[in-house]
Amino acid sequence: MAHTAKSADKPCARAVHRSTLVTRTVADPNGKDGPMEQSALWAQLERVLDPELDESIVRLGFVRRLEQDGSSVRVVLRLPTYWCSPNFVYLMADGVRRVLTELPGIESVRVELEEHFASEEISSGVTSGRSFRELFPTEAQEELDELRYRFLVKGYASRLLVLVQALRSAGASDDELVESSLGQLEHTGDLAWLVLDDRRRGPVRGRIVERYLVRRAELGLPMLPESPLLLLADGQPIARERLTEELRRLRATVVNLRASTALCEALLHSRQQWWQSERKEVWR
Amino acid sequence: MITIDGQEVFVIDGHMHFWDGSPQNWRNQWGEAWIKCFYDYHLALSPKEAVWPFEKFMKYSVDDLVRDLFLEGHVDMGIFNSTYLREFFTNGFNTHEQNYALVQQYPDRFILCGSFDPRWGEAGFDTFRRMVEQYPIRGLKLYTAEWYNGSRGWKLSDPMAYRYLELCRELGIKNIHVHKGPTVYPLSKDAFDVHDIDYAATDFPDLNFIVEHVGLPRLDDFCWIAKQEKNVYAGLAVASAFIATRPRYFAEIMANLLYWVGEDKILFGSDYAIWTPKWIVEAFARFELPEDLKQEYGVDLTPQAKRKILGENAARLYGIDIAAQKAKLAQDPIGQQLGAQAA
Repeated sequence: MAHTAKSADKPCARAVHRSTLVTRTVADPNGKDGPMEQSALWAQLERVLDPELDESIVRLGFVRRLEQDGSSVRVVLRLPTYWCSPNFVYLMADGVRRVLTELPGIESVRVELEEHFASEEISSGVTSGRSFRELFPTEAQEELDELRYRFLVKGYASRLLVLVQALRSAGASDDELVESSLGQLEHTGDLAWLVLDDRRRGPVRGRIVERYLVRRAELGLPMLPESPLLLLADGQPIARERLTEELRRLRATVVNLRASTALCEALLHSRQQWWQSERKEVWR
Repeated sequence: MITIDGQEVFVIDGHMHFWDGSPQNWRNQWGEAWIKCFYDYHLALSPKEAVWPFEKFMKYSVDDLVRDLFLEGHVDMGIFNSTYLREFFTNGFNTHEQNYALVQQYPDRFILCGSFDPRWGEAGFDTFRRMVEQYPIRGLKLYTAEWYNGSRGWKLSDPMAYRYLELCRELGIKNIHVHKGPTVYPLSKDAFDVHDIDYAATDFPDLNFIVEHVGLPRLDDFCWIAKQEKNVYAGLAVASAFIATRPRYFAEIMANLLYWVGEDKILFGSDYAIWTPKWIVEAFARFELPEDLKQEYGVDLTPQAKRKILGENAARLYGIDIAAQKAKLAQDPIGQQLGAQAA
């Protein structure tokens, strides 16, 4: 739902927003699902990202319905356009299936797409656990791991830049940033600091640090306390004299992510109208 | 007509259409879905006063187009980015044949783009030659996401695409607009990348490649390529529509383009009729990059840069002498009407 996606820009709205989203969009026709289980399902779904936007499909408002019946779960996704690229759609739909079946007691997950040109193929394919290449044998030339990796890297770029910007505006100098190591990050509750010999820089929002560390680990980059605080996606540290140039490159990636996210949110919002008006099926 | 710093600006809308998305033309459900998706774009970024009803959006008239571009939209010339989509629309969406009707009526106002599709194979060479002979084709619009006989996309680096690019050389077609943008289909073929442009641009240094929609949502990949290749240009359609409702994103996109690509290689486009040029051109003429972006990137959207982007760059690519062209345009029916309005 677009209104929830829009509020994702405002950090203070997040905590409230998550709980309202659950109560507003969970369809619970049998009334037998406890709120704990529902929130566990939603918490899992939070982990599924739009690979291109590096943002949770829940925050983006793509999850239209979530229904549980015993050990089966049905999830309906609504995407910003009818023409979303199937490879990205597949990654998200398959992600939904994977994270939900990780939960104890959940045995089958049906993922449906509302109004997408490849709804049928992707819905039935993902539900039965078939690979993307099996679904689109003549068109898909590779499996999606490479694609997934490429966007994990872009997301990492964005998270790294956000971290640098936050620490800079909390007073850290460029020298301090390139010379610090991971062990100097101090993380308590919702806040984090960069600890230097005689003082600390911060606080910055804990989530910024968390997002950076999670993705850094996903990419298999060094996570030791003595590892440099800032690493490029290829594992190289950033030299002081390269910092400005590297940040500029990261910046282009981030602008792109933000512009795309803004566009997707606006498109999703516009799409609501077709569900509100009666559909004419003239070609039949 | 619009002025920047008191100076009249020649505006070429580098990306516009005259389409038929009406139900009578839908071949199947894809046609309906296509035009609805376009309408979502229209609603998503248009300011309220520029929103059309869906009925009109599906099929608008010649009069609408003339008014929206030339009489009210500050545009002097438009580049027809012909789009075929014959698998979705019975008569095509906006083919060069359809667009030609307008070109005939106002020959000095339009640059007509044709197209090729490498999946036509060698059998398509003759069709392509005939198109260039029979119509005043001055550029091409390529749509790598087009569906064709069960295939759902192609790449500019495909060997058969190269054969057609060689034919372009032979026939003297220099400007190749390539859609690299949001939402459209192809599967793993090129849904996520603009790198095929890189190959073609390197191997055909005498052709110009205008990347429509600046590769959004692949802006960063596009920037790296355009920085390296002298003959790769940025087409602003879609990006320009952020200017009203998302000015900060627009500013960031522009700062990146100015930094990586440069003010000589950016072409304005409205993507009419997804958006009408009036509000975009007006906002662009007064747009200022925020101070922090100017500092960070060391670039500025100066009046000179704006003039280049709005028209001079496209005029250079298409060999248009702006002073001579203005004199000609003042005499055509639209020019006369504008003259009468001003008097």
